[in-house]
Amino acid sequence: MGSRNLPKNLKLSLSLSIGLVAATFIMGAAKLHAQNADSIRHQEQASRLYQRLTGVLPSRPALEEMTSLIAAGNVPGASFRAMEDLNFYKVTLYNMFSAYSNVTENSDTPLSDYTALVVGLIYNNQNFDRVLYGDILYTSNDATMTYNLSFNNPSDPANPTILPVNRAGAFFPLVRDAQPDLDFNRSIVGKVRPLFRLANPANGADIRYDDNVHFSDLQSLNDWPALLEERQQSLVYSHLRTDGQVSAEDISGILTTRQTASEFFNMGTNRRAFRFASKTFLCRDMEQLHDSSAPDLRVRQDVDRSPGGDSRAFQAKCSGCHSGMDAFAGAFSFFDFNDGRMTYNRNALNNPNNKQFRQANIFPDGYRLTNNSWMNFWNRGPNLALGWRTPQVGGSIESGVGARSLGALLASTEAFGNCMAEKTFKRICFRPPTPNESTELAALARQFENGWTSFSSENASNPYNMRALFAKVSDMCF
Amino acid sequence: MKAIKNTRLQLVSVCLLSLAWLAVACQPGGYGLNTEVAGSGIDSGIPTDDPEASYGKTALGVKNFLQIYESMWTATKLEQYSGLPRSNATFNAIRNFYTSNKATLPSNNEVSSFSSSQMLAVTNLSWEFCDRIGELTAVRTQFFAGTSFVDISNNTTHQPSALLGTPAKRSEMVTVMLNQLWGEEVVQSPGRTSAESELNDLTLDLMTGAAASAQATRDILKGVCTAALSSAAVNLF
Repeated sequence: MGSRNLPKNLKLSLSLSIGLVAATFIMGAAKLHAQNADSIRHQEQASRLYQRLTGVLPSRPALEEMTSLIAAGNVPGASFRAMEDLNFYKVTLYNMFSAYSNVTENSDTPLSDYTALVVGLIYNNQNFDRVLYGDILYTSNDATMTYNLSFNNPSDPANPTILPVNRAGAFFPLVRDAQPDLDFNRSIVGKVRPLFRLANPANGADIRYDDNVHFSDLQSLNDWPALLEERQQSLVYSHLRTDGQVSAEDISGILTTRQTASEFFNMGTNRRAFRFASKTFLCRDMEQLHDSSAPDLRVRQDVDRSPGGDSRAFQAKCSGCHSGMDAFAGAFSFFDFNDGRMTYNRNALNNPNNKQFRQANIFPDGYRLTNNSWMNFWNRGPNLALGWRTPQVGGSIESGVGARSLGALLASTEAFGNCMAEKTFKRICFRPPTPNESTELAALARQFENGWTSFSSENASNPYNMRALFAKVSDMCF
Repeated sequence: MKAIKNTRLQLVSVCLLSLAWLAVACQPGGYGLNTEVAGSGIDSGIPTDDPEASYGKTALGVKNFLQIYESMWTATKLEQYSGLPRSNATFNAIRNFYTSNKATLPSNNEVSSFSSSQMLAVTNLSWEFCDRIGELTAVRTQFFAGTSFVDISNNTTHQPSALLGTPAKRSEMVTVMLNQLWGEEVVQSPGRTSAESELNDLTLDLMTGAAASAQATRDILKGVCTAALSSAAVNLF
């Protein structure tokens, strides 16, 4: 029986069935195509996110895992996967904070105690606000150091003699041999020279921290972020010669590292240290902080009260920055940088030739530093927007003594959290946030201050956890 | 020497083309909602009168000097394959070139300030890395493991026409090169297919007039490697 003899309704059924099969096939193909397009898109996102966080291309396993996580809508999870790569620390973070560690804002600078402290805090999931007030320093761990090596016979470096340095009852392996020019210590592959140098072997007290070789050596090791070990800055400095020992009230994380001293305490009047701390950690340079309404009672003697013979210029321009900055910078009164060393002298202000008294004749009635106290004149007026809060570690919003209390105050502001969130956003998304994103970032910054409990499995639920911040911010543009 | 210069010139052209191609591929619309690549907020085709135009999107960036350098070490796996640290004298040329020419590489991630001279510096740095892949037998052994490009020493059996004379051989070489330098993909993307085609064409171009020697084959491999390593896939993100 030919098809022409089929009943009409059977023909119709057949036609419909064929049409249905064809439609199903086309829809299936379209769906497959869409799924494939989605897979490619997720893969591209994963690859791009990995590279934003680490600076390098992902391995196949990392790409696979991140692609799956992104497909499941878990961008923060994908970010944490990328941050397992040490390049996140030794490329991205190191590069990001290197620029803040020097006056010229050059990101091509060797690893220093400044950048090591930042990376150490983040790698070890520490509260990042400690960067400005913590009694901390990150150096290489003991096992990686060629510590305590001395040579009976310098021509025979293969037979070193252990020279233990045991002070204050604690074995402290941070001192290297007296002759820095002799490169014997480097003959041990994979080791780094210690932080300190025994400058005068005849006098065991002359231990100096006057160069950066420890961190330069450390950077030559591929896994250096994993080798960082937290030290107590006050204990470390207690081993130095007298003018290198910093009082507890002035120990303040990154603000009292040798790198900070070499860049911001070197010559000048130490105001630079405050300016760069504000620029880096509050995202505000002097122009943004300018407030002519602040009292000028702490403006120092070296500031002309009538520049060009016009006192209005002082009131309208100079005073706007100096009123607040000079009052804060008093915290750094005892610091200086000499002979490659950060020096600290509590009697420094007894010397009329102290660098901070230079050009005192410009306005002798101006403020003359007498101690390391500071005052906050920007907690009212336009700079109220910085969100001042009493530091959790104690202290006051109004005034304090020493760099530590100042660092704690700056780290407790809303501006600190906002600034870290904004810097992270720009680093990941490569553009400034839109107005709506700025609002979202501010909310994110408040959460950053308290921590995200949902990240406990990543060991990143503590307050001020920078890894968690990177993960959350990635979710905003990926 | 002249041959190497010509090769480099060809490579630069190919790299610039690939850069342009990838930049076009990364225009808005290429990645779907919330993931697409936006302009820097200042340039690009995004309307400037909408302050929220870039919302939820990421902008295109170029890697800076350190990111490029580290990407190349990671991509070429020279340390892993040679068993030598990067401080070894074998890699002096790479380190010296980087140290001397760091300032000519991009200093930041702003793609709008990426210049042709920086592209040239990236290409030259890639050449230094690829030279080590081509010349170090220990590296080639692992880089091209399981292929006929491991041993390239005989001037007769390993000359270009012998090792790269068929489309299948050229395709094998290009596939290995991309898998090693760009990483293996989970899903084959259209970008990869098109890059394979371009690198195949480049191989043919480089074979034209090449000497009948093993060195010429190694130089061709280095050339293709340089094009892949200095391309946007490695250096833009």
